[in-house]
Amino acid sequence: MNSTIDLRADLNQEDDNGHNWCLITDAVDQSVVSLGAVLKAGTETFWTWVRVDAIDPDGQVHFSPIQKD
Amino acid sequence: MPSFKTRTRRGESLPRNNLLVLRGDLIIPERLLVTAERNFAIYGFYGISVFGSYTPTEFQHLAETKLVHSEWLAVFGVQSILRADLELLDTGLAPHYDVSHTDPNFLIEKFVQCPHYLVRNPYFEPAEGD
Repeated sequence: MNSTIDLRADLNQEDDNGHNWCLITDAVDQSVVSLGAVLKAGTETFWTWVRVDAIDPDGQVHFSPIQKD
Repeated sequence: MPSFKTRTRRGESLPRNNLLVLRGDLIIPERLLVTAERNFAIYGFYGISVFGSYTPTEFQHLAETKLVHSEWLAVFGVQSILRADLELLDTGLAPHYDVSHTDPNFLIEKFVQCPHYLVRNPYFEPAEGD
């Protein structure tokens, strides 16, 4: 991986709907985190491209891996 | 006082002894502490997310779906976790669980010390592109 992670996240973590999640404060640049945004999420050794599904008032960011065609 | 979201519990009976507890990524204490504290920030308890697998088919399914982008899988026996005085909570949708304890430092220390195997994910696919 050559560029940085946008969302520092643990891709094992799931919410009650089975979506991955992290905190808005886990974003390297919070301004890029918006509904529908496509970002790199995870760690240097376990990451993938995701789409942001929801951002809650408490700062929980829900996202889903983008599936290959 | 912070307000936390209520975490859904599935109400399953205690896991059977042959449950394998699976987690994607390397076991790095600093990362696990961040994970546990992140869980506390939202749900009000310290938890490390893992997945349960009773059969080779379930293991394979996890390795080639949710964990496909993790080159390494950490595999624990459920008894090693419970013997370490850690809880296994049936949180969210099956087969997701949280390994939990009220003391985050105890949680990380004991989780890391639990006997486990680190195996290369045979279905690993690197995420593509920059």
